Amino acid sequence: MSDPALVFEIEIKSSPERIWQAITSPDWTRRYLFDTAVRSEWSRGGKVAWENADGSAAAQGEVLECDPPWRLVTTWTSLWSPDLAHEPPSRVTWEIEERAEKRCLLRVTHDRLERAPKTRTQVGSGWQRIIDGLRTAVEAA
Amino acid sequence: MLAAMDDVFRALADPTRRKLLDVLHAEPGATLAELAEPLDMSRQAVSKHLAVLEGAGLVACRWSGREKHHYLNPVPLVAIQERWISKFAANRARRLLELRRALEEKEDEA
Repeated sequence: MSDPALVFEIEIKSSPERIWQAITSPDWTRRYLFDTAVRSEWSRGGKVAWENADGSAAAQGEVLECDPPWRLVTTWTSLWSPDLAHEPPSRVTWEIEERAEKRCLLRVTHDRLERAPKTRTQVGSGWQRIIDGLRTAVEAA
Repeated sequence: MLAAMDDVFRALADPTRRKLLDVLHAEPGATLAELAEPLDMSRQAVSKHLAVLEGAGLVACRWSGREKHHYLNPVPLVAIQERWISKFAANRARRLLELRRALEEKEDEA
């Protein structure tokens, strides 16, 4: 059976800790995640939001798993259009694997999209830009 | 994993492997059996092609239980685009492709 997940893998020349910081700190996400600042206490069951410059949320979710600097799982609801905000939450998993010293594989999986087809259509190219931007930002640091 | 660009072009040079990517684009998460069937190929043959695609970073895999699911990983293709095509040029190129598609559809109708 087909599963409409989106999976992105990229190799990044950096440490797991630096990549983790890039995913979880607002100063970093502003550089590559559509100018949004991530806000969360990063505790399981807690909230997470990606905030626009005006303080509104572009997306939000709940922290399902947080295992620094290896694995972060949150639910995901896009808020930039009512069509998307009304779809049930999907799930985003960030996994970091250390391949060699200062060389990691980052895998981003956006799944549970079966009942969120509009979200799936809209986020695909966005993730490509985010992930490529994340690598550029981290490797330039 | 993301390999050298040589591996990406080598993987894309084969029509069967491009067809596999087409199937994965349409059917994300397809298993080996699901990929072998529409291509009318043995699982062993498909498996070899998948290994090349995985080695080039074009296919990412996920396990659920004993089932291995395959996904098209677009990141190496984006890297190729970023290398030679600026954002501005990408928009113009896209419009030209849309124009061609529109013209060809007209031709089909005629």
